[in-house]
Amino acid sequence: MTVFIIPIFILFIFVYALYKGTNTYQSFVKGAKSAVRLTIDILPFIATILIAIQLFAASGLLDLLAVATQPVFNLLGIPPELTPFIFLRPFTGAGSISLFNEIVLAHGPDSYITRVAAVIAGSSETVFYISVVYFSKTKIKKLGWAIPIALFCTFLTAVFGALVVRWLM
Amino acid sequence: MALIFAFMMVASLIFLMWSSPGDILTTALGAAGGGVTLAISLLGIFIFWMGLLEIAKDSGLIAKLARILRPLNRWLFGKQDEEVEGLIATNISANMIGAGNAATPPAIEAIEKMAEPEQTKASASMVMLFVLAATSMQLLPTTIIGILSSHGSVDPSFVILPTFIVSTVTTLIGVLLVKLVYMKKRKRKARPDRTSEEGGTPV
Repeated sequence: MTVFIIPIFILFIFVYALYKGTNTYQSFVKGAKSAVRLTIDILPFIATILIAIQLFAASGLLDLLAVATQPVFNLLGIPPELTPFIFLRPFTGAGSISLFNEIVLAHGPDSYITRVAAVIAGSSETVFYISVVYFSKTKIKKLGWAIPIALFCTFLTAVFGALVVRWLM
Repeated sequence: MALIFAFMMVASLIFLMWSSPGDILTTALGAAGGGVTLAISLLGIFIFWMGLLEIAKDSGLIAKLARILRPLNRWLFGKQDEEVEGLIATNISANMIGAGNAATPPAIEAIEKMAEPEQTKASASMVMLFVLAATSMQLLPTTIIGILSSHGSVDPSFVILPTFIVSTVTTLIGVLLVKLVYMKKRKRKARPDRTSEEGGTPV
């Protein structure tokens, strides 16, 4: 069922456009052109933030952070196997997806741990990455409360995820 | 961001010099190359989604979506011009179906259009858009379901409901926090005028 939703959505865009008499080919190419410009504009930002993120991950500071906060996470009912995942999540999408794969392999695709990780992955975003990319076309440097609020909500996905999955399983 | 970047670089370099100094350059250069690879794969994704979005824009579909979402948008972002409203509506809808990469281009454009040329501080509505994307209320976590089924899960769609519940709750909390923080700021700013006009009525 779920495999149909996005294709139906795409089909709907085309059917609606044909009904309205839009030149779909011309519009698509126009959009594709702006995609090229956009990607060139954000490329330096992506490369820069990735250097910082991967050095940070390689330095072992993330693991250290995970160990240090373990007691707090235990207290909130978050499985200890998930602490590295929770810390990695705001930094890297690709990294957290590969870590998610490892969790699935280690605990099985239908286990409690995997399901909580799945909920965390689905309900949160790569906060640091999007904070750079979203503002990359402006001169805005001060994001105010944006990052603290976003990180706090990421943390809450783990707390609520652990709770809701236990309740539904 | 400048602070976070500098902190991450300095802290990581100090730690790595102590644990594995030989890896520093390989990791940094690998990451830079990874950034380029990522941008190229994003380019393909962006071409597809932005092509589709352009069709949706030209056919008037996005304007229609924006009209439907307008009451919600007004409450979340205040009054915005029609183009920005359409971009915001597109960003939110794409995030909801788990297409985060498709959501990125309209968000960049919306923030660009909301910003004044020399603005350096994010406004309340920009922070709102960012937090909404970060908490990503999720109707359909497509990527995750894909991974679960590829590993032979007997019930990959189990995660849809808890993901929906959790992401809705955290999105609501995020929205309320943004409203709270920026309402307070507005009041603090408004206070001097009020005291001069009304002689110091407590807020």
